[in-house]
Amino acid sequence: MEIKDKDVLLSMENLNFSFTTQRGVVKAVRELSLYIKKGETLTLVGESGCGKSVTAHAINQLNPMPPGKVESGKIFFNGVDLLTLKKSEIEALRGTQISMIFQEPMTALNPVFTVGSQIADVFMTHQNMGKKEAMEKALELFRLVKIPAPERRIHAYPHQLSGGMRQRAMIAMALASPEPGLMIADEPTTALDVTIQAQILDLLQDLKQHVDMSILLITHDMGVVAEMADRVVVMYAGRKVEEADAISIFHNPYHPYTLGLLNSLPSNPKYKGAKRLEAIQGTVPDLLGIKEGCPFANRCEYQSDECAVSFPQEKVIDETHSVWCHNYDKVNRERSM
Amino acid sequence: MSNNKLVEVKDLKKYFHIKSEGTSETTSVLKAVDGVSLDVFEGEILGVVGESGCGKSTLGKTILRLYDKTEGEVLYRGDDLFHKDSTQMKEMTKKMQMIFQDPYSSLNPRKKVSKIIGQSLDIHNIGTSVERLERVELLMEEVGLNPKYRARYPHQFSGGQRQRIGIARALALQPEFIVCDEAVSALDVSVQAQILNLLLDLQEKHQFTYMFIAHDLAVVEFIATRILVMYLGRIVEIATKAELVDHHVHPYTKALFIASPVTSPRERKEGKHLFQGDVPSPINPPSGCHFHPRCPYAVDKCSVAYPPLKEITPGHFAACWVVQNDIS
Repeated sequence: MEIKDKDVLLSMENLNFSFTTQRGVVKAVRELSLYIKKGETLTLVGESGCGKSVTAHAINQLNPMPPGKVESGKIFFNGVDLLTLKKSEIEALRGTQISMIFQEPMTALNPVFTVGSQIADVFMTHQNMGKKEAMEKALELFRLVKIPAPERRIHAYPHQLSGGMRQRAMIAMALASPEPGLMIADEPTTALDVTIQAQILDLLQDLKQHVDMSILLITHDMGVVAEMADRVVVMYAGRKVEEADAISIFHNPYHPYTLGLLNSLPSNPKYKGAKRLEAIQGTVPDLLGIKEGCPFANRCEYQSDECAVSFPQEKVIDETHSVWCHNYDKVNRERSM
Repeated sequence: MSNNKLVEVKDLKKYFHIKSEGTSETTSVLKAVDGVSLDVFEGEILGVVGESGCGKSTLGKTILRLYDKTEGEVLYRGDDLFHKDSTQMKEMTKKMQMIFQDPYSSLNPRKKVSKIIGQSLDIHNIGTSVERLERVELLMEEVGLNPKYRARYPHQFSGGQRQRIGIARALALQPEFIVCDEAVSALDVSVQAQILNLLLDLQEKHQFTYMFIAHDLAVVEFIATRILVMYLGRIVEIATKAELVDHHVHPYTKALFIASPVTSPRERKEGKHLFQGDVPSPINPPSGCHFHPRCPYAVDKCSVAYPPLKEITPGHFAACWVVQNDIS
């Protein structure tokens, strides 16, 4: 895949990230490369333990280290390798160009301060504003994220807000930077009810029209991917297995796991009137002591001898679509039959 | 699905009294289930869908008498469960079982799998210990667990396998009626598909009747034969699956369908913001129809009186003044 440098906000090259546990070393992320272009939404999708959150947290260095450790790799943000920066430099970036929203806003917000003062803090810390000016800025953001009765809510404590409003407040905080560059959204709607999820996704889409930012969206939910993604990276057991634009992932998948994920969705239109789902058999492997070779092989109906021996090289389908599978052409033939 | 009513729920109410900390005074009443009437027919899969706080889990638990009722009746094959004494109720538990959401907290971590699955056989004194173990092994096979792992503890299994343990436990007494309370919600999507298939296989084989409670419309839409939609303690719409999916009429049901994520990026649509606002607290729900503050179709009457559940077309009920064309 050729990447035009000036469009790229972030590029990750061959990241290897591991955790040392009592039982041994867990290779949570292996040889992961990805890029995020300016203004685009990249989603990282996969099931629990696939390494999607570890990958995202490697960017703003929120993984606990130790036990976590970057074994190798580079993460370039606006041309600077984040992994070579000092702690203070990373901290400065976190409040200005890389922001983050989490799954559970209740645990991400400080319960003993009002939401308004927490947002104002960002302005005061990173932009040297006075308290009054910062609160006015916070109120502006509350309006931008469409919190009802913002003048009142800005003085509310997190527990006085509903889940949806707390997530809006988190998003407001993420926007409280002079030059919003990258927003990392880690399962931002997983804890929310479906009607509230729709509102939050809608808000994120809407904000992208007004604010110049890229979103790295981490999710397990292919529905959220379908709603939000420009491009998609599919991860399995610490590896990138497929990367493509959103339409190709849904309508032209080449990896058996991507296909399996789509087939696992009861909402897949192919199941109209069906009696059973085409489920992937087996379970996700234990990352502890995981072998070379394709980690999906033992659950894969297309597996061949080489799958156990080596992890496949990149197979380029077209300029935006790549797959890491020894038998990708077989998958494609059978899928189009 | 037959026309035999297995369970009849009549005007069931379950209220919780909320105390503020440090006092013994009851300060507010949470009407978790507030006047619900429904029938569960033998052999059907009744899907119950709604957002958090709508009372769907409380409804399931009160029907099984895991909670005591506040008012109303639950008839099982014509007998009121709440009139049974503890010995009779213990007999009833052979017929009625539950599968829980969280495969972590619903299994005793200090018991071996064989004990967990076989516990109800012990309680009801069924068979000799050898027979019980045989039964446990059969059950494990039936739900897709290797019987050689019977001496393991829950933490040695994955989430999906634990849910299989919970299912095997529910099957042990050969029940007729199983309440599945968010039985696949905590699972990864690939495992969720496996468990849905398993539940369907078991239902086909044993002719179970399921009440399948979930917040995920897509899951309910796939597994259920009839669907019931709840909002803040009440039924807002109920119909067969085909009817509800293609011809739902209640504004809240519409909101649920509109809010469900698309299945392809090609289908992204504007207008999700049609339904604004948060789910109100069930402690102090809005007056009249509880949905009226969020409803784009609401008229004056909606804020005054709660609409009754009325039959719109045969077998299709909805509680909405506007749909019933009774807005004067």
